Amino acid sequence: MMRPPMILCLRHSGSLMGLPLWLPLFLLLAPVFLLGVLFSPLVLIAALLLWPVGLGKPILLLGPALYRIIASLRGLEVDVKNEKEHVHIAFV
Amino acid sequence: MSDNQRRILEMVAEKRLTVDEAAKLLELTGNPAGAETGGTETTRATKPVPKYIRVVVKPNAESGDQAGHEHVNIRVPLALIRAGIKLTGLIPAVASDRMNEAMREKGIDLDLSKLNPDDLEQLVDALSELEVDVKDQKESVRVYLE
Repeated sequence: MMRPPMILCLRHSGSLMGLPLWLPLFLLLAPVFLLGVLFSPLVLIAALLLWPVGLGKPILLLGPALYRIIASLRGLEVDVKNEKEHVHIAFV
Repeated sequence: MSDNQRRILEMVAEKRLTVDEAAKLLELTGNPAGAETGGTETTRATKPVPKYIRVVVKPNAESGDQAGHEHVNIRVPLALIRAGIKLTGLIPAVASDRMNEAMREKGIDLDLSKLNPDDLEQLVDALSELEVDVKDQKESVRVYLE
């Protein structure tokens, strides 16, 4: 089971005196899960209605696919710097 | 002939790989010389499976003048690439056709519906020892799996 990233680390040399900003993504897990549960009946209805058009399966599988993408973000690091600025983004 | 070799040949038949690329992959995946020497499989088994693709762009130290140049260091999880390829499987056929057509107009002859995670897995397996290292007078670019 893939776990989504728990923390997003942002650092920009031009803001916050270059201090890293640690965003606790794990706090979003519960609300997102709740939203998913609340909207799941609507998704099911939409999938059933659009099944004849061929869009039912993609709609049903979109949720898990998006979760897989978000979970795969763990470990992504982007670090760009020049003589003026330094930007660092990391999903931990 | 192993499954890997068969799949690479199939990809050549489908024109998804050039002959040169296929030859390199065949050397990496199913080198019969490896069986003769007896050490290749053991070495491959003990090697850690690559999890990330790393792209590093930095100014060439020999150029001296580094003003205006950027250091770029990006690490992309291979799982993210796999997930992205799986997501292309969800694109409806109508939209997929239009995307392929739009890409073809821009000179990219790529059929999204033919991409599948198994192919990527085999390519990653074959490319795990490959390293791209490009240098010019100003910058050097390095791409490798880790």
